[in-house]
Amino acid sequence: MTEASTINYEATKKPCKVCFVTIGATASFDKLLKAVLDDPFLEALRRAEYTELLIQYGKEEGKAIYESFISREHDNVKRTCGINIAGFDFNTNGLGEQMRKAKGHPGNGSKEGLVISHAGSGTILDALRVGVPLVVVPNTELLHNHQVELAEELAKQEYVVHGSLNDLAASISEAEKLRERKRQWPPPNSGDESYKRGLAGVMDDEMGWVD
Amino acid sequence: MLRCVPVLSLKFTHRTYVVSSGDGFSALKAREFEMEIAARQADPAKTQGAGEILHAIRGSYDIVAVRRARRVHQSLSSTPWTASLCVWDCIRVIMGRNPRRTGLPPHRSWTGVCVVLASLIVLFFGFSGPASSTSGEKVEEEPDRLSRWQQSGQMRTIFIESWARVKTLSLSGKILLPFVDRFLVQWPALEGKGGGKAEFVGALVA
Repeated sequence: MTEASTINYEATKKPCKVCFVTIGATASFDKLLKAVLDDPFLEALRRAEYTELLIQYGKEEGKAIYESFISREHDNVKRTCGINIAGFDFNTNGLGEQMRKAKGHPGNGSKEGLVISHAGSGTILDALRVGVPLVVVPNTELLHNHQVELAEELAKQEYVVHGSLNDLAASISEAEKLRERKRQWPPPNSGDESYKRGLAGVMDDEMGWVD
Repeated sequence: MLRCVPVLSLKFTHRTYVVSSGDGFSALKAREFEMEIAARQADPAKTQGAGEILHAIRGSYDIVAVRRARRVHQSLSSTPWTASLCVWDCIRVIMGRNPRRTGLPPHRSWTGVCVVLASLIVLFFGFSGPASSTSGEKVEEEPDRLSRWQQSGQMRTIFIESWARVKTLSLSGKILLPFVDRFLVQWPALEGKGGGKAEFVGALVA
C-alpha cells in the first residue's frame, strides 16, 4: 500500500489535465463507455499524466453503466491511477464548457488534454473549433455508417485521431502526436477567392445581386 | 452552417430560421448567430432606448418550429403522415403565417426536405413566394413581409449537403436534387455528383 499512497501524493502535484469523453445525445454508445472505463485505457491515461476523466454518458443504459462503475471502482482508480472520474448525462446548453476544460488554460496551470467523441459532426466541429486534440470513435452499431467516412477523411488530413473501440488505449499516445502537429481548423483555403466566395457568392448569384 | 452566411443581415432584412420541434440545439445556434450580428452592428451607446433605430440597422428575425418530419427511429410507414404535417407547417411559414413562434426548441434533414417541398407547392399554386428566400439543411431566410408582395422575384432554394457526407449524398440530398436551384457539397470528392449538379465551394462549416 505504500506504493499506492506515493502515487496518490504525486497525483496531487500533477497539473490538471482533462480527458473529456462524449457519447452524444441521440443514441446510446455503451461500447465507448465500457472502453473508457476499462483498465488498459485508464492505465494509458495515467501514463500520459491525465488527472481527470470527464464523461458525458447519456440516459438510461449509459447512466447505469457509469454509476455502477463509479460505485464499484472509483476509489480504486483514484488510488492506483491518480485519476478523478466525473460524469453527467447530457447538457442541453452544449458541451462548450467541457471542451474548454479539456483544452486547458495556462492561466490556472492546467495542461491541454483530450476529447474523445462519437462521430457526430456537430461535436467534431465544436472540438476542432476549440482546438483541442480529438479522438473520433464511430459507433459501428448505427446504420448511418457514413460517419466512418468522415472520421477516416479527417484522420487522413491529420485533424483527428480515428479511434478504435478494440484498442482505445493506443489512441491516447496517437493524440499526443496529434498535439505536436497542431493542425488548425478551418482549413486555410476555406473562404478563399478560388472557391467563388463560398455560400455568399452562390446566394448573390441566385438573387441576381452583383457586388 | 450559420457561420458561412457572413453578410446575411445586410442583404436580407428579415430572416426566418426553421427548426423542427424538439431540436433546442439548432434554435439556440440561430439565436446565438443573431446575437453575434447584433453585437457586431450595434453601437453600444444606442442599445438603450433606441430599439427602433437598432431594428432598422440589423433587421429582424424569427425562429419558428415546425412539426418534425420524422423522429429518430420512427418507422418509415408512418413517415408520410408526419411529413405531411411538417410540409403544412412549412407552407404556413413561407406564406408568413408562422405556426408556432418559439424562443427555443427543434432537427434534421427530413425537415429540410419538407421546407423545400413546401416552397415547390407554394410556387406551383402561383404564388411567387417571398421575393427571395434561401433554404439550407435547416435554415431559411426570407425578406421583409411588406416587401414580399411588392416584389415579383421568385424564391430560390439552395440545398447544402451535410458536412458529415464525405463520399456519398444523403437520402435527403438525393430526393431534393432535381428540385433545388443550387446544390452545394462540402467535400471535394462529392463535386459533380448528382449528374454534375453538386458544386463544391469550399468547406461551409468553419
